[in-house]
Amino acid sequence: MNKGISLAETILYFAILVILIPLIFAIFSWVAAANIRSRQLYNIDSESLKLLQTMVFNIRNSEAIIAPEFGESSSTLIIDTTKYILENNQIKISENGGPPAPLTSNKIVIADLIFINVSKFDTPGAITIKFKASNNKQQKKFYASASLRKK
Amino acid sequence: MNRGFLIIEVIITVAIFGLVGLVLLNEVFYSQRNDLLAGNLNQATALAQEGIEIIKNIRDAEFYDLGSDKKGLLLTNNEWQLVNQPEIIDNFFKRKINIVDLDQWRKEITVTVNEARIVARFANWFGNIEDWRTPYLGGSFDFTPENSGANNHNAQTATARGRYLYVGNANSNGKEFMILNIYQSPDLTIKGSINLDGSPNKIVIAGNYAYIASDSNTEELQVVNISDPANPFLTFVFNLTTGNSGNDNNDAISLEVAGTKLVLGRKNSAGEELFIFDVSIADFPNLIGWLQLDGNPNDLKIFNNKVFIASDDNQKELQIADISNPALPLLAGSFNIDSNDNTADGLALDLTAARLYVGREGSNSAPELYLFNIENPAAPALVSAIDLGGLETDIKHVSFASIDNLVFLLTADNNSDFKVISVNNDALSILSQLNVSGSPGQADYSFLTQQMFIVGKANPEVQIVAPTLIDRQI
Repeated sequence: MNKGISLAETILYFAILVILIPLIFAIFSWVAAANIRSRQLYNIDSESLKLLQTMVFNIRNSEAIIAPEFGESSSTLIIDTTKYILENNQIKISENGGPPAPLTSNKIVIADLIFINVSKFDTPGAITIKFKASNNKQQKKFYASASLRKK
Repeated sequence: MNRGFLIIEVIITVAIFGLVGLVLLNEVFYSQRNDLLAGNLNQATALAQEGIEIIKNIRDAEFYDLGSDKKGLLLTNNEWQLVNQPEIIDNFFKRKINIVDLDQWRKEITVTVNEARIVARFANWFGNIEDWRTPYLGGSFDFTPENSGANNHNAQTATARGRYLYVGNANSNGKEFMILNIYQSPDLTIKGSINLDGSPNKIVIAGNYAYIASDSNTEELQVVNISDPANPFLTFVFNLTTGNSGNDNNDAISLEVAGTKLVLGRKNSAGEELFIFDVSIADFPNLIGWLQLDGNPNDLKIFNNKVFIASDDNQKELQIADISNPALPLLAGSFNIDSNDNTADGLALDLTAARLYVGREGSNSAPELYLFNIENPAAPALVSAIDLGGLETDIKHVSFASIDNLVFLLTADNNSDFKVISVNNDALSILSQLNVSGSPGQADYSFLTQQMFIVGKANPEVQIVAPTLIDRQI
């Protein structure tokens, strides 16, 4: 005889669903948020490190540091005819007086950009770079230095 | 008969789903953790690379600064220095430096940041050797009405520290305190200047402040904020009065700062001659101790809570004060530098950890420069001495450069004011001499430019003595 589902079973299943559904929802929300965080962090890391690599390469191969002066710091770096500036939360590059072009995307926000001329006396020169990169709730600090190769 | 699911079936089903869920969650968790670790490793690698770049610039400046005792980097006042401790960055990354001498001309540098490690080898490519056997007048700087408010200054004290030369001019219509940028030496430029009351007799730089011993009767100690060298400003003065020191008007003539202690020397009077200030608050020195001395404390240096004083007292040309308890300084010892002339005053000194160089007034019968062993600071032992000439060879300034084991002297000898003394196993010998124009008053050696900056009242007020640079062939 098929008696179907008893009331007790129905209540039990319902109770299990009541417990499981929010739990599953919470887990999926957490996984989704974690995925977003992970992607954001990846964006910050990859863009910032690529940016540093580009700037370090250019500084190393430049002839002279025009600004900031020795021992000074600034949010603007000028090497030879290339200028790096912070504008609208993006690091931009301007070459030979041309219009500034962004080196970073709008997926990350750059702040507190500082270029320090740390050159020792009678050396080709060296620059230390510091900035913060953020993306919604994620924020990281980045540092790099580059010594000019030519004397 | 189908009676629906048994409770055990429900539990098993939930357990299976739970297990699968746990495995998936675990994967997500580890994936996140790996992303974080990869990001940190990338950043650590970038920091290690930064370390190599900084050390490269230090190598470019002076290969021999890459000492094997150096373990870390420190950025102070926009300048990187090699220090003896690893560096902690953002409370997470630890940057350690290891320097190994491969041979005389090559070093292996290992920079480790957490799990990241980069090894590089540096050679002494530029290889210029500073040859002090043939110093020459490398340049000069003239104070003019346009750059300093007056034409004929009497520059009577100078201190070279980092990229700046701090010059004290005797009181005039112009500026008394000048900051010169010596980075492009011999092309000097004025960075900043201010007017001061009185004439600075001694300038000592500590952190963001210049401490000045002055002949002003109301401001024997002056403190100038130099955090922005382009815009220095007077931030504190201390007036030694009859009430607080037993004398109102005698000039402050010597000064030194070590840690949180500042020691000021004043010309001899019925009052005290040595004053100890607490500079825990750097721009607010607090007088906490004093000591009576015989004679004028013409120059002083501090090492290990001992103040070594060059004095004009004829029985105590060298005096040692113990300031372990700065509220109760004690005269710990003294040395009567006689050597056939008991009247020549102690004028200037400089020291290293175990050696002290004392310069005296010129004498026809006694040496002028004395080398002491100060391993027991209360009882300095005379090791050697050198006679530089006759009465004309007053030693006005002594600078010891440990890298080359050389002592740089400014003397009153008008035919060869500047003298370089070589120290070889404690034996002193004259390596070279140079005549500079006028009768300069004071000098200081720049460890940055490795040049001697000499100041005086003749125009130009600042003269630069430089070593000959020899290209080393390797």
